[in-house]
Order: sequence, then structure tokens, then C-alpha cells
Amino acid sequence: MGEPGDVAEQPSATVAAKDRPRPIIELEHVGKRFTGDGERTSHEALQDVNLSIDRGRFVCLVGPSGCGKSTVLNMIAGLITPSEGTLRYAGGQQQGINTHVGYITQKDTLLPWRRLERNVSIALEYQGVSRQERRQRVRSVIEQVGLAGFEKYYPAQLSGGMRKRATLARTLVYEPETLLLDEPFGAVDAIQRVTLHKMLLDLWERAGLTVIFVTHDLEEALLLADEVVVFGTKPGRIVHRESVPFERPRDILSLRGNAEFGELLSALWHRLEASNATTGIRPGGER
Amino acid sequence: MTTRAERGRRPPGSRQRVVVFAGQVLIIALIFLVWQSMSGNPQNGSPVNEFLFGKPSDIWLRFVEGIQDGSLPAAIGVTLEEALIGLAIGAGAGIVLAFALSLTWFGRRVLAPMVFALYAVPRFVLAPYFIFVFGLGLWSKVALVGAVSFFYAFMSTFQGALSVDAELDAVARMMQASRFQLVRTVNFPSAMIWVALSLKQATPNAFQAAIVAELLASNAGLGLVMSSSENRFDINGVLVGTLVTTALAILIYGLVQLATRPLLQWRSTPDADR
Repeated sequence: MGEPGDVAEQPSATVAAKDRPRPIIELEHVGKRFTGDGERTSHEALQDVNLSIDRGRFVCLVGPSGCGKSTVLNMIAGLITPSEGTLRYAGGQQQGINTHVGYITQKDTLLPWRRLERNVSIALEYQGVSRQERRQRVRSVIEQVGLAGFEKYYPAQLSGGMRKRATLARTLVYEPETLLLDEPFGAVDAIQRVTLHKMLLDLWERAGLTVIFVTHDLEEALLLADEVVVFGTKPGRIVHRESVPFERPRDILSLRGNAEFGELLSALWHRLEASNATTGIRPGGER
Repeated sequence: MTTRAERGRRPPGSRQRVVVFAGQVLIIALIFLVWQSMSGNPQNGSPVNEFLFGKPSDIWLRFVEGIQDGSLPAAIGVTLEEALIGLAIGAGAGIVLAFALSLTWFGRRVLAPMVFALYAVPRFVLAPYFIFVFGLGLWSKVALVGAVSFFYAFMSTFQGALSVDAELDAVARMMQASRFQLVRTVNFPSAMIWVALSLKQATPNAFQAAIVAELLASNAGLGLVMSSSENRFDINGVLVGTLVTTALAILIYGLVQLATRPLLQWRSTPDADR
């Protein structure tokens, strides 16, 4: 574990930090070792990860399976604790479940026995928001994700893309400051995915969220992010960070055909391939 | 964009349902018809011995007779009472205990395995003991029915309470759900499928338990109708008891299905406005 007293003992550092906004998420020399029954079965999922993410940024973590990108996300969510190093969220060391984040995974985490509107309102119920305010906020966020008219539907009656939007609505309604997404659109068809990308960017730009988006799809990462963090395997580690230069707001459809975009994409692919020569992934392999 | 609602699983055509039902009735009628025509006194050359296998027309007469003198409705009432009280107490206790044990580590790891071990005790073997303790009347039957339905409810509910999806749990906690809210909104509803299933399984078995206890020793009920008919070599009386019990079990099963449907509505409604 890290040194919890680190920051408090250095008042000068705190003062200096006031001059520029402090990163909302900071990982310092973070490692994670998963142990099975004994040392023999332990394996190093993550090694010496240093990463700081500023408030309001859209950051994509990219890499092949087993590179530890989801482990980083789960650490920020507070579902996993680092075995080495320090993870700070909003200046404080992260302990237990992080209730400042919204968490969306590839899997469906809607409650199947609740209709759409009651799924979306659940966080507000937990937080004791009044029925009237609840109804207003739920209606507005359901409209934002384009599901107006489907309030009374059960999740089983919605398409995969609609369920994804419902999950987005359920997460946005309680206004978490950070959105953690773990391959959220993996199971959605290409056409719906474009809609969801647009929607996500639109919501991010309007709400001033910080977004950490895990994907194995480099193109998706480049289309969406301010910064792409590339992970490698064995052990999981950061192999490259790339600032994405394209202006906001982005037109993700025309961006795909942009020459500069194509160059950046293939440059990143080469870099990824060079650092993962043994893992056998190749351009387009996972699309 | 098409939704599953629009694609809609079409409810099975009502015409098809009529054909299915008519076919089933026809087959049953045919069986009774063959039975009726072949059954008789073996000394007159009938292939089926009516003293051993009964005869549908005589079963019917015996049934009407029982209804008219009031003995059959009284017996049905007694058995129903035993089965339903036992089911309510046994299944209720099973559901509550399963939930309670699922909530704490001690309950899950120390107590629940002990309850599972009790499942190995053959319940019907307990019938004489219950009669010894609770006497010939209602409560010895209720005890056996309760012991039988308790395990159906406990096993399923416990399994259901533990089968909550880990991601669902994590997401709810990120949304600041309290322990109680988590149980109320996630654990409890996700166990409901299992509870409903266990009630459906327990119902016919509850009847079986009531009848077995009555057959063993009783002063009322359908089991007594059967055992006393048997003592008089009245095979038609035994068959009346059997058929009435079967009909009751099917009827109650249907009612349980109807009663648990709202719990499971979300699984299979093609129509959201219902």
C-alpha cells in the first residue's frame, strides 16, 4: 500500500497545487498482483502505472485483452485495491467503493424487473430525492438519450442499443462527476454504435464530465478521446500516451475519412504492434 | 429502430390452443371409454377385473354419492386445510429463513450448510413421529406438509438470494445504496423468480404429504376416504380419492401460477402497457 500521510506532511505541495487545478485521478507507481491459492498461481496484472487525468478530460485506455486496462478502471471505481503504489481520487487516497463515479460495463446492469423509468430513477431513490424532483430529472435524462415514449418498457423489451442508452441515462441522472466505461459498446452493432458515440460526446461536452473509456478498439479511442493511453501486456503496463489533436466538437463521421486521422491511427497501430509483438494482435483484428 | 416489443412474440393462436385442448380431452375420454368397455366381472369374460381396477361408471356413481351425502366435500375441506396451512407455514418459514441466513457470513457459511444437511432426512419417514407428537387431527398433517414445503422454499430462495450478479451489486453501491436498500431493490427481487418457482414445486408435494399422513392415521380427509374404502375392498372409492386429489393439486398449482405471475411479469410481457 502507499503512504497515506504523504500529502498532508508537505504543506508546500498543497499550496503549489492550488495554482493549477489538481488532477482528479492520480496513479503513482500502481501495481496489481492477483494471487490464487499460493505464490505459484499469482500473476502480475499491472506494473508501475503512472497516470494523471485532469478534470473534464476524455481519456481512452486502449490495449489487448489482459493488459490491465479494466483493472485500472476497477481500481478507480474502488472495486479493486492496488497492491503497490497510490491511487488518489480528487486529492484523497481511494478507499472502498467510489461513489463519485458512474460505472458502465459491456454487461447489462439494468434491473430486469424494473421498467425503464424506475431503472433510471433508482440512484435518486437511494439518495432520498423527492418523488417530484425524481420524476422531473428522470424525464429530462430519458429525453436526452432519446428514449422518450419507452418509459414503461422492461429492459427485456428494449434492443441492445436502447438498453445501453438506458444505462447511460441511469448513470447520468445522479450527475456523477466521473464516468467510467468498460467496453460499453462492445456488444452493440456498428450503426447503433455511431449513435451512441455521438450521444456520449454530446453529453460529455454539455455536462463537463471526466470520462475514462476502456476499449480494445483504437479507432473508437481516437474518435472520442482527448488522450489515448496505450497499454501492453505481460505484465500490464502503459506503453504509450498520445494526445489527440482533433478539434471539438468533433464530427466523428467525417473524422473517420480525415487523412490526418488515418495517419495517426496507423502510427498508433504500429506502436501497439511493436510493443505487443508476441500477443499477435493486428490492425482490424478485433473489429 | 425495432424493439422487441414491436417484433413481439405473438401469443399462441387461440385456434391452436383449442386444438391442443380438444386433443387432450379426446385422449382422456378415449382412455376412459376403453377402460369402461373392458372392465367387468372376470367370470363373465371381461378382460379387466373391475374388483381390482374399478370401472369409470362406478367411480362416477361413487363420486356423486359422496357429494350427495356430504362426506366428499367435508374430506376435501379437511385435506385442503391441512395442505394450505402447512404450505403457508412451511414455505413461509423457508423463505424467511433463507433470506435471513443469506445476509450474513455466519448464516451463509455456518448455519445454511446445517439446514442443507437436514434435507437428507427423508421427510415422509417423519409422519409416524408427527402423529405420535401432534395426534390424529389437523396438526400432525400440517407438520408433515410444513416439513416438506419448507425445504422446497428454503433451497430455492437461498440459491436465489446468493445468485445476485456481482456487477449489479457493485453498481448499486456506487449509486450509494445502503445495505437495506440494496437488499430491497436488488437481492429481494432477484430472488423472487426462485421463490415463485419453489412455490410451484412445493404445492403438489404439499398435497402428497397431507394424503400420506392421512393414509397413515387420521380421523378425516381424502386419505381417510381412500384407506377406509380400501378396507372395504371398495376400489372405486379409492380411485375417487385419487382423482379428486389430483384435480385439487392441479387446481391449486394453477392458482399459485396465477398468483406468482405479477412477480415475474417483467420476464415475458410482450405488451408494455399491460
